[in-house]
Amino acid sequence: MEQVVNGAVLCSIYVLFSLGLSLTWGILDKLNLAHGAVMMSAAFFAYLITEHWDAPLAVLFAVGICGAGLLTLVFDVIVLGQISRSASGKQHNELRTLIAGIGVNAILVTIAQRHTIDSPFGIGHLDSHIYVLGGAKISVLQIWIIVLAIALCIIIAVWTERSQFGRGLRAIAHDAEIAELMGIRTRMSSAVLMFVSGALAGLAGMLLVMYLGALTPESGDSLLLKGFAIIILGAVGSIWGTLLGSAILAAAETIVVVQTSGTWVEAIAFGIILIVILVRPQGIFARGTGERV
Amino acid sequence: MNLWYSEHLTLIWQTLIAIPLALSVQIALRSGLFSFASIGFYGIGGYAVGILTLHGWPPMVALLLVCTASVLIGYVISSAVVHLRGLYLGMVTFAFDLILTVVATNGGELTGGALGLIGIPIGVSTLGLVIATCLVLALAHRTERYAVGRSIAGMEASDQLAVSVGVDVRKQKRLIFALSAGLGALSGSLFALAFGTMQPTTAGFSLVILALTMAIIGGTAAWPGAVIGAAIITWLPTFTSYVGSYQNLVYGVVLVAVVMYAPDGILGLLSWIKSKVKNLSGQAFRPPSSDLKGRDVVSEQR
Repeated sequence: MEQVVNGAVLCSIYVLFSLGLSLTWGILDKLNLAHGAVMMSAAFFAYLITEHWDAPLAVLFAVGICGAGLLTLVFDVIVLGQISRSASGKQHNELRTLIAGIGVNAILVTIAQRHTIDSPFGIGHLDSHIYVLGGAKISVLQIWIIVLAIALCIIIAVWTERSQFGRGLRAIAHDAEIAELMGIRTRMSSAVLMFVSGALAGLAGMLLVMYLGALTPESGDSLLLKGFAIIILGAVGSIWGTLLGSAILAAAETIVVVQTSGTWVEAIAFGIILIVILVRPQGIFARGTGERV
Repeated sequence: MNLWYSEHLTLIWQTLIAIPLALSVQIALRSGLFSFASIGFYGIGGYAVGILTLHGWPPMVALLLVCTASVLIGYVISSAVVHLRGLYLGMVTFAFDLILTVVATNGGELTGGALGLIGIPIGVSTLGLVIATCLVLALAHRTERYAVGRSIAGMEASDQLAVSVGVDVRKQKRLIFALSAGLGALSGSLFALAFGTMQPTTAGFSLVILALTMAIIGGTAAWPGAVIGAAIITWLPTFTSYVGSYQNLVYGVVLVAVVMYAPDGILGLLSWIKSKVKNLSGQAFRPPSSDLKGRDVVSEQR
């Protein structure tokens, strides 16, 4: 029973992290390889504040989430903007976007590594309230993580599927040029989406650092690969696919941790990537054709 | 000169070993394959040669055997992956590399677990490394000339274009994938034989970044780009010793700056300067570097 709770929490963190990655990839066609480092940076910003000031939790969360959102926005506007302005083939630009993400990832991780001298960092505020629910222990933080993940899934789904803004986004996903001709402010929409994507990663980072007690500067790298595995499991840009992919990965990892010594856990995400892309590249729950490949 | 040589022997070896690795990524990128598989083969090559020589095989035999096997394995694997588009291929090969590091960590006696292989007998000399590098460069040069070179240039510009002028894109890509695997394995084998150790992390995430940085900074248009990239990345830390532990930060900044402002790398900058100089001396106008490749392809097809 306790493992079910652990699995659910893991799944919730994965959902929060992968949602942003999936949305920007599916709608804007930008795979942000710095997403993992952005997630880590949110916790790192909060950690920087706790070094000097015993700030309330709300302030730390605000700083972490906004910081992560702004980081993604700045990366999009300055770096990706410059890349898309230069006249070069689409395939070429895609490659440059990925490489820029890898570069930004290296920058953020190295800054955190140097500041913390390669050791894990935490932000304190560990909670101790534990409830017993149907035979399983569950902490307040774990409840928060699960509730936030479900709530944000619903909010984002409504936002992208029902609102005027969401309709604009879907038009951009279909064809950015035509969307612009139809009067959709593509730049503004893409900036908002990038910020939201970063902020979601930031929230995941803040929750993760509180849940685990500490993060290493490199923790974003493995999460990025897991996020990728989740997205290709559940089809790019699909919110419910992301939820399902997260659930599958979290369940598989929890089972492996319980059954074996745990050193093979890292291989699960990579194995999923290999198998899914080779067997069914459009994602297991995709409806359309695999035109992306 | 002699003193300088002996002081910098490690760096010289590292540069010579890095060249095939940079080439393996570069050749793949140049053919439109966003593949990191050669980094995995670097690990496979290093471990295989290390294990074989630790069991008493002569280094040269082990090296040749491992490289040939890698080319063959690469060719077989390629049938499953070369049809994947950019990003998907990148991620599959990236996952392949990272799975290998997990396998190496869990390999028990054979791979030495997390500590890796230690005490592999040293089996190369500077001369041997120079010869190997020259052979590799000659091979790389070969892929840029003749029909092969032209079909690769065509594939880089557009798969459809290449198909329309009669290039067997799939076959070419499979051969390039196999060649890239072989180059990666060669680099890894040389590393194991030169430095005597091999750890699971040797061929992990950071090596992917390193190899990619080499290929991108130097420029992917031609083989000198890989040499320039390998040399810069290997020697940069010695010139910027005050940078010290911020080394990866510098790589990151350079990587971002290059993809933003000089997508063709140093090679592109050089040919841009060359065209500027020619312009100044009153010759006909030539477009800046970023258009050069496309133009060459078109003019060669006419």
